Amino acid sequence: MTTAVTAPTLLHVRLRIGVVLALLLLLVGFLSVAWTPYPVDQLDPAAQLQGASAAHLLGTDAHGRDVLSLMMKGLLTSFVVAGIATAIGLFAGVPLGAAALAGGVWGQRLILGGSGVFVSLSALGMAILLAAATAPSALNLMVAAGLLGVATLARATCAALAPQRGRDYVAAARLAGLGGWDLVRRHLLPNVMPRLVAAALSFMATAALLEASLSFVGLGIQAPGSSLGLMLREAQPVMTAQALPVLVPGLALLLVALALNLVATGIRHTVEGGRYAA
Amino acid sequence: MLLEITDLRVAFGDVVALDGVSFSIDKGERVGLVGEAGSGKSLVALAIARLLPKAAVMTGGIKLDAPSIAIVRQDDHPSPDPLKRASELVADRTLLEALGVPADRFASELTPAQRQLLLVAMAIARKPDLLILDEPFVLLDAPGQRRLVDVLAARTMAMLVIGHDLAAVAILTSRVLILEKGKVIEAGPTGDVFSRPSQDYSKSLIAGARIRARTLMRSPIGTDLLDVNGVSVTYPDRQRIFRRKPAVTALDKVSFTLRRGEALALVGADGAGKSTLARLIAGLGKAKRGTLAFERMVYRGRDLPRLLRKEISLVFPDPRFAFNPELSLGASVTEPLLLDENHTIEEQSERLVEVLRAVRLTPDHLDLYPRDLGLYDLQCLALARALMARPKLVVLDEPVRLLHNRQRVEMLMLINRLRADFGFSAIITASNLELVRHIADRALVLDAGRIVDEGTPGALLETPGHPATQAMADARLPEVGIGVVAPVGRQSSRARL
Repeated sequence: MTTAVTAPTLLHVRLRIGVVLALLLLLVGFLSVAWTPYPVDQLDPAAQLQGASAAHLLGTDAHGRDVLSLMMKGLLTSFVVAGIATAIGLFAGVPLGAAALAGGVWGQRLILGGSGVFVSLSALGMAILLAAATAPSALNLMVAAGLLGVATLARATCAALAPQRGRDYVAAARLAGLGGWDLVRRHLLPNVMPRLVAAALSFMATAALLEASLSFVGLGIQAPGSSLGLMLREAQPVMTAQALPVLVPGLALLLVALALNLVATGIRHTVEGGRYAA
Repeated sequence: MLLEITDLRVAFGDVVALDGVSFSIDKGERVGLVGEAGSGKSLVALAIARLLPKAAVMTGGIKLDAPSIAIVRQDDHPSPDPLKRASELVADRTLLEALGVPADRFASELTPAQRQLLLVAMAIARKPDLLILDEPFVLLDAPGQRRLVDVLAARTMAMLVIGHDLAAVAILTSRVLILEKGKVIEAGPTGDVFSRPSQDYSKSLIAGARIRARTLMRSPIGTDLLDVNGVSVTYPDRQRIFRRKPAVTALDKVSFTLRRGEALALVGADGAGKSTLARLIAGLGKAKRGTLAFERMVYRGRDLPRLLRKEISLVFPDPRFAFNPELSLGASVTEPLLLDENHTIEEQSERLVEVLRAVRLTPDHLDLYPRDLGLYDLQCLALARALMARPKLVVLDEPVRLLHNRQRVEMLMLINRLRADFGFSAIITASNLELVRHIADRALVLDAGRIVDEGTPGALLETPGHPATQAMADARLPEVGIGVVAPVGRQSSRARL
């Protein structure tokens, strides 16, 4: 028997960094609900494309708006859109994934095959379709990303549940007369919860990037609204004159995706490496 | 000297895992290392092979004068290259055949026991000067153990055999060391140590390996309780891209009757269909043909009526997987009470306390999680769970297979006592006829899904009627501690042919 040795590994450090970073970004985003250094709808042609200064910590954009304030609002949009898309994904995807497994070979073919179509269509294609049918809006964006979330998380749920289903503890629960949703809720879900949380977080990162890219191409958040993607879109023509309006939202986006993925992989590795290791 | 270890110490932080271990192995010598879980046996092997975990601090001398060594580590999931056929990993087909490993199968298609044997074959085939085997017998069924013992005994290389299975170590090795909490407390020629141990700990270890009395308190055998009538089970053919594999027949027209109060053993090698039958009786899986009848109520497996579910319970072979890791043990153990909703809370807790007391555990155990307990305690809780609903029939699927020698004996005695106290009928599966001798009134021998022999375990061992029974009888290893340790003969393997 080897003695298990628990030491703070690189993984734990990563997980901690991820959590702290994600919470910090979330805090900055939600702070913008109550307060931003400058109102973001206030145009100030006199203060166009300024660099970093005491008045404007991260400079101003082509319309003279404060980049820090815009970034804070943009972060909020990222989190709200990604959060709602993930919520839609979890709400519909987890039961769908469990149903796929319960439905036997054909259930899996139908549900996994169907979600496969969604995943391969990509949300970009879906957003274009939705935008063509209605008009580009934040709602469209959430629906498109949410549908992708349903497909992604249904597959993740199915994949996480499948190996658990054959375990003897599940057989024991069946012997005790449990079945269907009771079995899933009492026995299966608690065992795959960390994995599902990890899948949801990494999908959330995807959704945040998706929101930015759709807004960047003009299919997402529209002009008076704020989004990191929209900031990038507006700052792109004047990039050579002033880099900050591009760098700031780009970096913020990177940090959001990085933080969420750090937490997701951290959770995944902790579950897989820690619990059953000899 | 091939290997000389002097004053080996291994520590993890403040925890000393090995404390001053010294021994040597000569060319061609076979040495055994015996001790209970946590005694540090595996660390000795890892230290020799320089595979100690990073956190371990090692001092002392290991002088290895062997050009090549091979080590087979202890692993619940032995994993030779899954994409290679057994014959690609070990060219020597006679060796594979002697171990019972199908040469033309991919490693991924083998059972864990066969994979374990394949790893040992790979180690042997390299003809190392020193072969280190860490618990090589754990995953094997009784015939598999015997085959491995026979193969190893015929080799000339030096070996270090680590194990808790005293019988196998006794037969293989000429010298043995007994390890307790990281210290060698006794060492000497195997025959001497096992027949005349000097330390109290070794005495209890060796005495514990011997099965003592059987209980005499049994309820009289009465009318029919369970009737299995021509049951066949096939596993659906695994579909491949281009060709369909033929369906696997797990059970083939199995019929037998269990009487009230009886303890019936289903004995067979791995893959004979024991577990499939046990699970079917308990209400898992489905019979393709034939029916089962419990007190005249007919069912075919998972359609076991809810009313009957509380009358039959099942104990799984590996208690580590039989409990939900995320649920407290108390919640798991009381789960069968869901089948019988007419009880007040007082009755339920009364029953829980009674059942826990019967398996010698306390209510404190109920707040723990499966990862907090060892195999033996978990298996006791599995028994407690099986008894919660007061079943008339308890099906025990290889209840002692994973337990260490001493725990095995304790568990068998516990099952006997529970049967006397609770008066249930029992079906026990095992790969070892010798073990069930002490708990079963009658045994059925299964081979490739069919019942091929029947009788009392004693009679089957004395006069085996079928080759499969013969193989079971041959698989017996001489008991340790009684007189001389006999050298391994070849006669057993010839008798099987």
